[in-house]
Amino acid sequence: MLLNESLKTELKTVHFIASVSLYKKYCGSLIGMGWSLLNPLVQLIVYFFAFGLIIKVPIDNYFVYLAAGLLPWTFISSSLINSATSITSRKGTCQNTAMPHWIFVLSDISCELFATLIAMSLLLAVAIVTSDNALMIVALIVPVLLPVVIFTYGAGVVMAYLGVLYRDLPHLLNLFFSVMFWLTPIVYHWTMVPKSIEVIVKYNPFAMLFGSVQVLLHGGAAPTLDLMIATYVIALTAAAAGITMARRIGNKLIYAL
Amino acid sequence: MDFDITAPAGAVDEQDGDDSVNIMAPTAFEQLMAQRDTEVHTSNASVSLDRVDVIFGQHVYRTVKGVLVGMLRGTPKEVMTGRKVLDAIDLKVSPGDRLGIVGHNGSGKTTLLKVIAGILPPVHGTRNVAGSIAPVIAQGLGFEPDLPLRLNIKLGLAYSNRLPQHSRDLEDAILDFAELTEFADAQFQTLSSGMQARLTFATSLFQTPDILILDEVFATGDANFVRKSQAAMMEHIERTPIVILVSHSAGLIRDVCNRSILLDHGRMVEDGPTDKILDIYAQRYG
Repeated sequence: MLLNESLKTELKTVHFIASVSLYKKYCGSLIGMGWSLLNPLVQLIVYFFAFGLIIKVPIDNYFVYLAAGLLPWTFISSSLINSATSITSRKGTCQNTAMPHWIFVLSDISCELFATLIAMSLLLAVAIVTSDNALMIVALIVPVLLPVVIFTYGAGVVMAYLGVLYRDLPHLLNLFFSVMFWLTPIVYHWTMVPKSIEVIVKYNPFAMLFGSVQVLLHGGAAPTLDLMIATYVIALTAAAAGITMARRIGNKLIYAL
Repeated sequence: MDFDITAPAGAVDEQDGDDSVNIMAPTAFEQLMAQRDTEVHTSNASVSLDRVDVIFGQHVYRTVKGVLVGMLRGTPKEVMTGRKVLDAIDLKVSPGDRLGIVGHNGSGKTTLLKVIAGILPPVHGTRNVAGSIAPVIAQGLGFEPDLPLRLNIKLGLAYSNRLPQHSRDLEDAILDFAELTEFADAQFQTLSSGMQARLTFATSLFQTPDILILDEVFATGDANFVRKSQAAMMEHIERTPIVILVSHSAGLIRDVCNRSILLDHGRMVEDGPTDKILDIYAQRYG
């Protein structure tokens, strides 16, 4: 019971610190949380203009397809890059409180999640209106998005701990995600990939995580069981790695701050 | 743990009638202390350190740049070994102990407090603490300069694992004690350094732990506030099962502590009655 109470307090702390971060981020801004919507929307319009209107990627309802990949992608990449500095950027606080360091990581990711969910809810509305299988989309959206969220929280904790030891990590992650963006079927469909490099796209964990979201929101179909199992395996592996690091390392990295 | 400061028990409003009795309402701090008396504290509160080492600087060369600098300097080994700040500390503290920690500058006093508080995990050895613990450490609570005082109070509670205790009444009580009620919605950075210190102290004060850890926190703000803080803190000390205090003031250690330890370059060299330890300290370090 003591452990449960302690965990409950820690999760409340995550929620509070995330809300403080949001308050700080948008306080004094003209449109406040509207930026959470405007940023991904402008990004979507730019990619739609380039690939939908100019290059004319042959995918029906391309805007929804693009959004179904781009929104989760932005959530994962921003969260993991920010996580790599979640602990190092709070050196002073970490050195004066006994609070578990992973709380900061989860708080930062929760901020990103909040912004993503706002944009995602709009996408969901569009997908429901444009699809013949609205009920299925509503029923499956949570099970499909859940692995994306679990993966990000787990991998974020890993990145945060590694980021304390290896200060080059945020820069490396920036490069990594710049490359992975083009190796993941976000602006194109995986069937358009040449056979010679298909394996890279096929076994790319991000492609699997987003694949189920794209199948549901764009295709209006339920993802295959194989795909769902694969996404949950990826997500739970990341979560297990994050929990193991948090338990084994705890606050010991304070000496490296 | 919430406590209501708006309707204190026993207080009768003067305006209720001619025959009403004017009883002075207890302050929020007095109410906290009264509540403290009614609480059942962990009877087995204890602190136990076994062969605890703390080493700073071991991770200096974990970055690529650090490794290169170390190789160029030709002395990677010494720096990689780090500086031992605490060396094989064995310590047991039980209920009733008011432990003073004395030692020269750099002897490891604050580091030892941080280990006991759970802020610094031991590099070697084990730390076992039973009971709730409240560190009142001079460096502050991690307040954010651009946030209003009320939000900063809640943040301070969150950082010290006390978020469930948060309530509007507690915020009011803390602001009242710090004499900052009129600035409740002002940004923390707009306060003078004395006001900031008062808020930090007041936020730390309003808790009822089993183990109270104090690091030179008595001299904050103006003379009146220092007097009030000292009185409140002394009352707090009397009612807390275990108190651990670091101070350069021998008088304060003598007044508060019934047991003291002497640290010398990270090693615990003496442990005994406060008078004896302070005498040894005076002989060795003048």
